[in-house]
Amino acid sequence: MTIPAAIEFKGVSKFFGEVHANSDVSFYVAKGSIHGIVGENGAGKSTAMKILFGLYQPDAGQVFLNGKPVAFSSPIDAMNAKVGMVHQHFMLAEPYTALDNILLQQKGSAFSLLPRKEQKARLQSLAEHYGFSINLDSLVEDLSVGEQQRIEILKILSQDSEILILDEPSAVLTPQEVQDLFKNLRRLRDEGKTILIITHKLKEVMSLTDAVTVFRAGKVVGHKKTVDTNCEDLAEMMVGRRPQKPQERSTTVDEKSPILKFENVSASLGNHSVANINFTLHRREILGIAGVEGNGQDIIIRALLDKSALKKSSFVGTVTSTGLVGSFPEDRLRFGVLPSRPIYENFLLGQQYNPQFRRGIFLKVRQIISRTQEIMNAYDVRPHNPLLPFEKLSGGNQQKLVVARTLSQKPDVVIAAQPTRGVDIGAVEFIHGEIRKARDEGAGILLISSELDELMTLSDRILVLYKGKIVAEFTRKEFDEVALGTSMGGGR
Amino acid sequence: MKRIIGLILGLCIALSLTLFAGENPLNVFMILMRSAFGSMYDLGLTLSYTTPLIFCGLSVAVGFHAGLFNIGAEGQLTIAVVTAAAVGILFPNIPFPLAPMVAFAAALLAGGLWGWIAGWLRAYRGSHEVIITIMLNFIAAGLASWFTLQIIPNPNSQSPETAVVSPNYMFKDYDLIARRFPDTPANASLVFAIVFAIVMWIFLWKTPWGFALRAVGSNPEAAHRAGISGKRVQMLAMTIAGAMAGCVALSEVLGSTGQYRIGFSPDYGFIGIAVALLANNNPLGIIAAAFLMGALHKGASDLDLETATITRNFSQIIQALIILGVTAQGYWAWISKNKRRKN
Repeated sequence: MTIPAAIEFKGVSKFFGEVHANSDVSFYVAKGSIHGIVGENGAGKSTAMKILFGLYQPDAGQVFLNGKPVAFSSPIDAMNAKVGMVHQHFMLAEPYTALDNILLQQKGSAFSLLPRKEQKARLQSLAEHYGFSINLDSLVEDLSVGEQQRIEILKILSQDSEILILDEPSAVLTPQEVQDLFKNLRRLRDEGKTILIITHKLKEVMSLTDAVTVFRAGKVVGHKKTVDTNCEDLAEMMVGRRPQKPQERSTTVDEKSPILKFENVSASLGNHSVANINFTLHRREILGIAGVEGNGQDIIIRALLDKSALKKSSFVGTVTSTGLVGSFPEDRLRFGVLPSRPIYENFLLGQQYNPQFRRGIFLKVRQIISRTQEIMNAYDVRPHNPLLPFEKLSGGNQQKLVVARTLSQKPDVVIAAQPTRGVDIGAVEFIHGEIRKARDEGAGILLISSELDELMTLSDRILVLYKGKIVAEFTRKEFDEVALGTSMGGGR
Repeated sequence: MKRIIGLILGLCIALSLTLFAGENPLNVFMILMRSAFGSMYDLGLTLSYTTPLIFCGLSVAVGFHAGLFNIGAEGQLTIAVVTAAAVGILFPNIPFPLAPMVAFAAALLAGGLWGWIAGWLRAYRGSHEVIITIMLNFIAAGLASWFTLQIIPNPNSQSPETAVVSPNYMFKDYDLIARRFPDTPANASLVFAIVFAIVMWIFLWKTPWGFALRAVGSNPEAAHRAGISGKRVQMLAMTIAGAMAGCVALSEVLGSTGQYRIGFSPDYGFIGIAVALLANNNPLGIIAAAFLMGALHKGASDLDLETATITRNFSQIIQALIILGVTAQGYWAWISKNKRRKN
């Protein structure tokens, strides 16, 4: 090897009680490269990065930077060693300006002694150098997610960091913003910075990275040069088996039986609103609502499920639906479940007055438990123990249970909001399969998602929501990633 | 099991504190035991404390299950006890089996109303129930004092208390428990308390309404999406809480004294919080926790007489340390984690 390894993990292990989050993890990252870290949720990729950033200390093994062994006891040590991290959830104080947020982290460095004006000038030139267009005096809460991310990156760059760790950087961005981000990252690499990017989007890995390390169940299962591999291989390594090919649908949309209609719906919630929403959902149809989060999806969901939560008297128009409406909440822990309660009580939630589970005024607890067991077996929610507290399940299994709870009631209209967020590939396949099954059995499904891949594989039609308006409609024949991405970002 | 170890641990720490006062911890413990359980008379007094503590423990626990902290059991029971006494004094001619029922129903209504006010304010005005219930405690105390001294005072006594209700309101003649513990206030309301605890357990864990109540307590937003009205549940929970605290009228007015005496309650409503915590809000556990707290309260009453340096207020120290011992579950996890690390 001629290029020295910027980062090297040798036999690193980290245990949380019985859980081996990392066991004997070894890999290296070449200096001046973009390195992808991929793996399903809970595969240990975040743990490894947190060890590198000093948030965790390894129980065994050693981390090397530029050939020298290091042991960070806190992120401050890591930052002093020129390692920076952009967290998935940004660490920004929203009511402050971008400049304040960047300076907040400068405390203690020689840089902070400079007067504010000079600091601003230096940051400005740094931003220009990397082609970041940011107004440093604007408040963070007024900036878009993409701009906020650029501030985070600038924060790291301003400390002359040589190693950047980005955790799921594209999760919240529009396709256009993702392209901008990648352009910036490539430029940084060309300047000699080393970039580690944690992701589960394999297409991005293929288009951006130089090399990739695959994690599965706490272990490194593969290390490849990106040119030597492809999406299918990586997916197989991540999951441990070949992903199934989604089959094309064998049923057709019942154009004659609409079951959900939005007519001229306008409403507002907090400080955003939707205007003039019109659409019709038919039986055996999956209607996708595309859009970056915060463009009015939450209002559409509430207009259907919980009108009283909307701003008083802001609701105009009519929503008509036929039959039972079921939903997967966009944020399962917040809206969907009782995290500390046993699984069977979570399964019961929403069905507590169902005569199936009642004898007079009493709940048939034994019956509820056995029904939950049945459902957990049928939907493969592991471990198969309905008495366990819900929060002990992994993300994928939690979501499977939420999906199972809704679909096992055989609803006519299903609102699937972000149905696979934070869920591993195996569970994604499974949940997509269940959604297709529900469609084939006659339900109409409103799929609200910000994942283009998900929308394009499942939907029969896609509406694009931007700033509270439906700005475009695509039928299955017209699906096109670029066009969809453009209209999600507000372009035409 | 962990709770029992925590309890013993808390008790041991509290007792060893008596060393600083120059007492023998074992001796203090023996005094506590003797005073709480030494004779039928002592046991009777212990049980007479246990009963209102069960009611107040249930009151606080039902609030906790709905995610509400009911500090207002004291005010709720005050209002209810005055109401029961007032009914007994103002309508002296109702015949026996009906009379206590009417008074009890009035007490439930008054206590429930006092709880409902806090629930309604919480649900529709967003006022925090802790503040509201504390303030309602003061209002209840003031109202009760005024009513006692101005409207229905006891003509035969200088003490601040109401007149005594007519005998057809008391179930003393039929009270098998009172007969076993002569000369003590222990009475059949203990049976009611235990029955209510069991009913409460069934309500919370075996009925859809109890489930809805616990769901709101566990995650109000998810409960809301599941079609459960959080507002209605909050009002229901506070009303039940108030009614439970109001049951103290059963043990105080209808069971033993037949009147409301200002200051009769040694803060039952607040010890009820300790009872609920100790029992982890489990209605059946509350029976045991209330018995323990009742025993402590009675046991400490003799410390004044039998030791040179320790007063009855020592029971509060023991209470506090027991609660710390039981509720600080975190250190179990910490100990087992350390053990694993060593291995």
